[in-house]
Amino acid sequence: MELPPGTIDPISACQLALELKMTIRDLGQRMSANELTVVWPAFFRWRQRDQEREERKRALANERV
Amino acid sequence: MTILSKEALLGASDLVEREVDLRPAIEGSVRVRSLPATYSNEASSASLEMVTDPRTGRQTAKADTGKLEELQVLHGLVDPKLDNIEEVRLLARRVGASWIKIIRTINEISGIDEEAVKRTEALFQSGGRSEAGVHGANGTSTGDDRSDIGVSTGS
Repeated sequence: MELPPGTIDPISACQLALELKMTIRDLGQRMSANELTVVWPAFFRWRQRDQEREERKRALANERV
Repeated sequence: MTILSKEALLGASDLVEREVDLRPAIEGSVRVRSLPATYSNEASSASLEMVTDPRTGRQTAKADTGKLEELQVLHGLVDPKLDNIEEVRLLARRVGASWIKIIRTINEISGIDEEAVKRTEALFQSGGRSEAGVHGANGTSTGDDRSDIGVSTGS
């Protein structure tokens, strides 16, 4: 989904709130727009890629066995 | 190191501030601050409309740019501070070049533009790990001991 700069989709906001054990309101009050809409989404995308890399490694290792 | 008073601590902010010179249009300057996440939450609910392409099913968020800018000024203009959205709209109707200057500066220091996204993405491509932790695009640090948020890493 394409979003204008400085905004976040509600699912991502909820995922972050869940991970940080905060409410959406708390997220708004305790960080900058840069952190919420740029840094955290970039981190989650990195974590997703990292997990996919690990899964591929495991799959490869299992194939060799 | 000076211990802060309660008032000083409660009034402190780690958001970036900058003075905007409005001359020659207006003789004077204002102070703006980088946008807090409160802006992002309000902007997402107040000014976005989801549009689905019937052919591809792809969803795009269509933004009311005017509303976004109004919210940016409401949250980003700190001195003088406008009390509500009606005052912001009054300002928008009365100034032109100054409005653009204010918006542009707020966006610059907020680190939410395409450039900031690319810089941050590049940081995470390279692993993003350093002794000092991950730095936000606007110069603030996130995830280090200055962060206000206690992020648990093991649980």
